[in-house]
Amino acid sequence: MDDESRLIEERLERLKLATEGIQSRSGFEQRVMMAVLQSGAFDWRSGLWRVGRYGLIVSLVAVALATVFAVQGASRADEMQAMSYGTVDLEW
Amino acid sequence: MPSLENAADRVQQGDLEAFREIVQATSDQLVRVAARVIGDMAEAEDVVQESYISAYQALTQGQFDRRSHLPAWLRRIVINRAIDALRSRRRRPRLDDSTEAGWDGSAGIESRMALAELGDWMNELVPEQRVTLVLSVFEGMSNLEIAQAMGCSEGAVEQRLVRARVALRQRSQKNG
Repeated sequence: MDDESRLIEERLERLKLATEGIQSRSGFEQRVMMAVLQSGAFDWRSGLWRVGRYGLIVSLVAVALATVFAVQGASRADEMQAMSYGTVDLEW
Repeated sequence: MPSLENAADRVQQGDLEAFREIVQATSDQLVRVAARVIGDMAEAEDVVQESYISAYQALTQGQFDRRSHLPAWLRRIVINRAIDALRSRRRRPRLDDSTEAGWDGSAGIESRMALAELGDWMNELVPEQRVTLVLSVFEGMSNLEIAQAMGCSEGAVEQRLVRARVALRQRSQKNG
């Protein structure tokens, strides 16, 4: 290797070390995410479905629990009403 | 990188947060590669941003074929975009370095000056030679890895490395 080639390799090595610390600047990640959202690449329907389906599951569970409580409450009310009718019959 | 591959699966199902995880894990390395190739930080970030948009579209459309790992796939997209940027580059006036945000501390100043020097030094190289030299010398990639990343033969990589060094040598002889 002649002097010229050695100088080139040394310069490359120096620049390699000096640029080792380069990284994306602060806020770059947010910029990318905004760009993805604005680019039309993001499918809003699938995004909304993804968020919405959790709400749907919670709603279905709530409806099921409400139905169970409603049925139990109704049968308890029927029993109490039947008992109260029985009491009236005895008084007669 | 199994967690990144897992994040790629979640992106395909429409999970935008998973894509944020991928950006967090890969942006520093990709910006560094692009900056070294292009020699300009702002332009490098533009290239990487455009690459992420393409990658997101490809992931959501199921076009990531998993023949390579996600970081290598992303790097390939960035390299192609960087070559396009070098080809279509119209020299725009450089920003005054002191006004650029996000370059704090002495490490930032040193990197910035080195980047400017690198960009200027390699300015006369053909884009493919420039990219090949950066991937080989600066990123430490083997000729096979570079060939896979650039979609060419190992022989072409060797040839570009030789020609790049000859061009740099001719340039220093011309200047000195």
